[in-house]
Amino acid sequence: MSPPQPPKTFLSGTFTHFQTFVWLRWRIRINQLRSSSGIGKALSAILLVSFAMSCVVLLVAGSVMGIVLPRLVPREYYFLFWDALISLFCFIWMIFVATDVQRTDAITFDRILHLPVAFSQAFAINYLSSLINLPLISLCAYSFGFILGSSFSIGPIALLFTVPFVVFLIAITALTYQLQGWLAALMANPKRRQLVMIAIPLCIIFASQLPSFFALRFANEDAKRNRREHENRVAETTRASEQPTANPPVVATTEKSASEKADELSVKPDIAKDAIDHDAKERVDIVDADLRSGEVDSEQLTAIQQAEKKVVRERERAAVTALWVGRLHQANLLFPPLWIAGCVESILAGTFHVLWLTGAMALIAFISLRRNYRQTLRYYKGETDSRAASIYRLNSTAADPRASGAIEATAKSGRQRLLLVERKFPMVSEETSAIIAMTLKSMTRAPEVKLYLLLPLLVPFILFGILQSWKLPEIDELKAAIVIGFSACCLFITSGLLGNVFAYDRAGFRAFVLSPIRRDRILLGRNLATFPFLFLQTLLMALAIGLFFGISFDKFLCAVILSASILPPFSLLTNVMAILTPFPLAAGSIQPKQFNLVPIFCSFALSMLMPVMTGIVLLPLGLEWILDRFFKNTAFVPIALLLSVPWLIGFLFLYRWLLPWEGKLLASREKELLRIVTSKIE
Amino acid sequence: MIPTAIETHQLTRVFGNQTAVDSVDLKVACGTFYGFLGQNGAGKSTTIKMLTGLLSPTAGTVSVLGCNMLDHTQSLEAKKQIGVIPENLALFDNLTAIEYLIFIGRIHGLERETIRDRSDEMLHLLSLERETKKLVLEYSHGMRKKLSLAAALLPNPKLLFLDEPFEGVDAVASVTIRDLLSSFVAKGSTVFLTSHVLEIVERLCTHVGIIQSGKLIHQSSMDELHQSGTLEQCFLQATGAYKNQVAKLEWLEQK
Ligand SMILES: Nc1ncnc2c1ncn2[C@@H]1O[C@H](COP(=O)(O)OP(=O)(O)OP(=O)(O)O)[C@@H](O)[C@H]1O
Ligand SMILES: [Mg+2]
Repeated sequence: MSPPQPPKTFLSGTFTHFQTFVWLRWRIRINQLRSSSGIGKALSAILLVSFAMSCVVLLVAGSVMGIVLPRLVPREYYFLFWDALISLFCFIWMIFVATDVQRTDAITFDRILHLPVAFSQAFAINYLSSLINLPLISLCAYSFGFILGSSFSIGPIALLFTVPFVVFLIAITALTYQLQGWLAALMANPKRRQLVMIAIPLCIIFASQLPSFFALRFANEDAKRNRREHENRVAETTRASEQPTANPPVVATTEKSASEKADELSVKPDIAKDAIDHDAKERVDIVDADLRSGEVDSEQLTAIQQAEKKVVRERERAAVTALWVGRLHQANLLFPPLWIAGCVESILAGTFHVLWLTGAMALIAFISLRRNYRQTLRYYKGETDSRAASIYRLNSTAADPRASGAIEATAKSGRQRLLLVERKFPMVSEETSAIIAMTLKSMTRAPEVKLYLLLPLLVPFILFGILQSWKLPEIDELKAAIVIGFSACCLFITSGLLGNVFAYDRAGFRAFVLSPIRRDRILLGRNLATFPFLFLQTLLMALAIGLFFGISFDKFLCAVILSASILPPFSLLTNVMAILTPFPLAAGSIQPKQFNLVPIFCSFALSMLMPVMTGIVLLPLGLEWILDRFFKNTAFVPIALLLSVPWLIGFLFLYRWLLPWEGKLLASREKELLRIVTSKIE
Repeated sequence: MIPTAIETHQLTRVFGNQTAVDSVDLKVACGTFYGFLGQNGAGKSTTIKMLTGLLSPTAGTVSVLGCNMLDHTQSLEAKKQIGVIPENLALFDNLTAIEYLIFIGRIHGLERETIRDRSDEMLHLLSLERETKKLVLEYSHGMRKKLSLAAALLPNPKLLFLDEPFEGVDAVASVTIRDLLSSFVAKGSTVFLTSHVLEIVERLCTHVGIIQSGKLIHQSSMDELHQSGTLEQCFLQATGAYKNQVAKLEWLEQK
């Protein structure tokens, strides 16, 4: 009989287990390193070192910033830095969470719960290991550096920032952890998973548009209020001018300058106005007096007026800044992600806000962790919540033997209906049709692939705010070029998916290797299956930008055709990337999960050919622009449009010509490719 | 007339500093039911991968149905006539069973109606017909194995490579598969199968090969083998393990 083990306290037990799991992850990394090639080892060593160094650099940069910044900007603007830092972090964090949405548990419960680990310990371990990630560590390095630096320039009181900052970190990670758990539970059902995967990019769009949306709203309101007040003032001035004056012409001048000022003001916020009004009136009075007494001639008058305008403008700027700072003050108290900046402000100002803000953050963290803990516990005990239970019920009726009659009936009726996977496409062989149909079906079901295809559509939305402030010269060629440029950007993003397309099939790629069809047909089928998506991206992009800037129809058409003509060389390029530089992916993730960096770098290098291709595609537009400039009489010929068709045909021929060669390349590499894409990851 | 279904010469595969398959000379005639046996890690799956063109050998030659598998064009010819259940299967997670079968059928150039009829029949036989709405992603281990078998049989191949087809499959389906395979061989086709269940191999196979640490240490017909005892005896003897050597872990007996 072995003696019973002394009971461990929760904390010490968790700590030993945590140590074990840190060791486990470390071993896995090391073993991965051992199996990768020499260059891979060197690269990952470089990466590791440079990550460690960049942490140090971030720490130092933060400290320097902390020392310098408070001396450069007034104390009351110091908190703005925190606002900026946290906003940036939140944006990166959002994208980070979205790209890894399906891999929630760093070390899954399934793999540890059969071991003698208490559930609460497993939970704590999992939560703690979710903290080890790039964005968070970088933020910590920089922020702690900044706090440290600030403690020199502001005083030791800055060290107090650490408390709300740590609470903030716990709160945001706890919320993320909860969100991920919730998504994982939702996505246990494949039909819901679809919805979630579509909802995520939409949420990112919305969240990234939020600040500019608010800014726009405020600006609009300001403008409205200003206009109203401006009207009032004009009315007042007119009333005043109706009264008899000693010097009517001067009144006219001053009146004009006042109305000019009012015009300028009409788009500016209100605080500025009182000051400016007051100030301007005073000056006008002085100038009036001077004019009357004959001390100032009209030249001096304009000079004075100009100087006056300059002062006014400066004051306006200061007033606008003050206005926005005031709004941020409010936002820092009302908008939870910015509470940390509110805390900083309040510590510096010596108010009590910091107490309730920190308390609220701590409460959020606590509630979130507790809820998450209970949910996870329920989930693993099999007591799903009512919603999940209803999903379960829905599924089980489908699999219910009693419902089998109905299913047989649908199977019978489905017999006549042509399924998508059975469709024959025109102008391609039967095998290619099979590949296209199968790829379409499986691609539109894989959430990570769908996410990838939707991601480029974010580009115009995220840039929407920037586009609004753009003023383009009225050159249609330039607008068409912008359409093409954006399409190329989208393709560039998608090249991450298509340049590693076989890795998404994983074991399915084995079916391709076993298949008795020519390899160039496999490539052709896969390319054609993605074609509709890519073309839709281009078309939407062209429409959005065309509507936004207003573009002539022939240039619009030309832009669409030329964008489409990028697709064949793009497909050739992504095929080469997929064949030569594949890297394995974990199921449901779009992040490479292996330390072997050579292929990732190589595929990145290959994708650098994209700009070259885009440049070639832009040539017809450039030609038309040049001809229009130097030979005015060619303006009525849509040269670019005429050229774009042979361009497209030329690229199609290039595709036809090079594809068999790529097929041979695939044939010679397929076994190696199979080994790589099916290699197991952690 | 093809004399042999599978023929290898000095087939070798090296992983790092380990030789997983070491100079194997296999010869499998058409119409045989060949059982390929060996302990875990002996090199069975590696051999099958090389035979089916999933892995390139370090050295040696492979000929399947008279086609040189190391030549790309010839290997395509062979692939038209073989069905395979590879070690980790070759399924697409995001397709349903019927979609996967249709895909495989079309790749092999079958007619639409033929594919539908055959897959309905097979899914019914393997009692998968209720699961047609599910994605492969949601399948259990055994269901995947069965679907793989259905896909391998669908084009009615001349030669089947099955890497542990019975592993994880329920008893009912196991009987069905056994009967299917027997009648498949009876009409002149060839099956090359690995399994750890010696009873099944003994009942089904007409020929046996045993591999140990990458080396083919025994190759004979079942009749020849039975002259010197049962398959189990022969296997244990060939692999150097003895029945009378009872394993013991002292600390397991302490209570
Ligand atoms: N991709 C690989 N990389 C390195 N070694 C490998 C690889 N594949 C197989 N091996 C090694 O080759 C040897 C034979 O493996 P194989 O999978 O062929 O065994 P097996 O006979 O199928 O075993 P089991 O009965 O367990 O399936 C093993 O020692 C294994 O470690
Ligand atoms: Mg095996």
